[in-house]
Amino acid sequence: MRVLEEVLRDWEAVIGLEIHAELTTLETKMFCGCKLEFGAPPNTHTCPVCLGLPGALPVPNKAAIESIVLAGLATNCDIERRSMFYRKNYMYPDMAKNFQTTQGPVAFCMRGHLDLAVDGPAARERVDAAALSEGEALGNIVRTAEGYTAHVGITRIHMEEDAGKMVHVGGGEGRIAGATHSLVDYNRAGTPLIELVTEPDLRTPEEARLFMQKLRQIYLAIGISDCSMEEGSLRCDGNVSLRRRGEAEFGVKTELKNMNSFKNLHDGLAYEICRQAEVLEEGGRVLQETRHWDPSAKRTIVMRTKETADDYRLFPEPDLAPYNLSEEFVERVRAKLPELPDARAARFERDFGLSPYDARHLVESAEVAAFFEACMDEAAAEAGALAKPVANLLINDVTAHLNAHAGEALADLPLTPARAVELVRLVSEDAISSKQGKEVFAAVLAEDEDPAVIVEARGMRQVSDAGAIEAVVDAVLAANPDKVAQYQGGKTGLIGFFVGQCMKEMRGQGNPKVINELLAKRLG
Amino acid sequence: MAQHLTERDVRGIAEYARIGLDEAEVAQMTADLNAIIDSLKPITEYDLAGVEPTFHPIGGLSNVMREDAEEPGFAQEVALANAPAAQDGCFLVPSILGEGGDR
Repeated sequence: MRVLEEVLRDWEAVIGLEIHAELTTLETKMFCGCKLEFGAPPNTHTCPVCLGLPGALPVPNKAAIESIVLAGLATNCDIERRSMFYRKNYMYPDMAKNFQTTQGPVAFCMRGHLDLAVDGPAARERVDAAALSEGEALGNIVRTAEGYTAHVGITRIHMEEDAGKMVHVGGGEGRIAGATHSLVDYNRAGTPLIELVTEPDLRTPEEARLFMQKLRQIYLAIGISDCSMEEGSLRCDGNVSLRRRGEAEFGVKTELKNMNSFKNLHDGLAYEICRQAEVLEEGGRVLQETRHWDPSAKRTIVMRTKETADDYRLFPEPDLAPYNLSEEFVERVRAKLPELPDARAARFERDFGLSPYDARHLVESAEVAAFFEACMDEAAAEAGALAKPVANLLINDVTAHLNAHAGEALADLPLTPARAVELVRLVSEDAISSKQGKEVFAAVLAEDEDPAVIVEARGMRQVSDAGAIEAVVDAVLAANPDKVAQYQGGKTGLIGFFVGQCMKEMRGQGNPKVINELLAKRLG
Repeated sequence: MAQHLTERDVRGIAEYARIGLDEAEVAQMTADLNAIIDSLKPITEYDLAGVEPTFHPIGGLSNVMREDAEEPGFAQEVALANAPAAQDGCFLVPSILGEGGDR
């Protein structure tokens, strides 16, 4: 199979996502007062409504409706005042009542969008963006200095409920193949679930990954879900088809499941694009089917072939009254909208002079962004001068540490905003070198001590005093008259030797910048 | 009796409902369902000019909602009391190939 970037030169991938989020921050289920709790003993949070017992009547959770309206407002959707619930009928034991309550043609949220900033290596997958000049538009993208922005349409966000959990027994490893029985736990049945459907506006796996990341940041910022891809409270399916570059017709699409991490979302789509290209280039045709991404085997496998459209016999749920949301209801929800990540990044650029890149990466985690703000408060008058080095510390060192230590949170680290500011100040004042800064950062985490104390204890203070360095430089030059002659004869590479000797003399504490300057002056 | 549904339709419905029907039952069910649809025929004879379509059976109500507050439910043994079979606190059902709704 060919690699993605090569395939994308000949073919255009058309990708749409369906993203489900459980409203885990609520107390109770969608249509009954049963408690929402992940990991509770099986079937301990059920009642006649979520077990589908005859005569039970559902009543929607007001906080869930507020949550989906909030999600719609945060993703630039129109809020539809009039909508209703529908029954989606299917016979499978994961839902005891034999239908899922969902929405019909009109959802609470319609016609939204998110704008993605794509840059760095991520932008390389979009081969048609490279030919554009800055500011030039092509379809839904506009070229920027560092990459491009993509405008991605959101078709709708609708309200529905999750199903129960099934474990298959009698076969191997909980798989349905070979299973004789299934165990059903209805604790999750009826969990409020919102499904966002995008327009087929995504063209690369990176764009799909960035969309999912951005949506997750927004959902976390508005506090409607814990968005745990691991525990399945945020899930993503992808639809992907290929067409020859320049063609307008859509190809046959496949649906991809089990992309339960950002990496799996990217890699699953990338594999599927390459697989479809191979099928088409060999003269075959892509079948409309649902495929499952297997990250350990690094391939997608067929789950089922869709020969006919599913018939869920959708009809209005007669037990639930339709909605006619008031202006007041929507405005009350709008008032709860916090500052969203994009707005926060714009404020960081404006108030602290950060680059768009730094600002965007800082707001990727609300925790990191809040820490940065606390640092700026700490830095007070120096905020402008220290913003860039603090941002670097957070984006590079802190993020690398958190990535390498899964489960640790920034709040648990011995690094406080005061210590972070002290550390970058020591470097910016030339008290220690940037290399020593890295060492002090590691020591702060390991020893839970203030940077200044560590610098003192280790005798790390960088010597920048020109008088002290001058004496060392003179001594080194006097001790090596032959090398000085060679240097002055044109062997300028010897500068490294002199710097090294001076550093050695100063036990590594000399400021290299000052040493270099003085050497250059003396050797003239 | 008019032929509103064919035997093919009935087989399709039976498959969705996961009900096994033999040939005789398919024929009987097709006749029964067509007779039921026939019985609704008088409705089509009313003059409905100027009558608003009814989109929802309880259109007079709207925005019925409850607060997000926990209410007591079933204990595990009560939830499982009517289950024909249970295991490890779960409902035990025959395995069914296929999958649930499109979630």
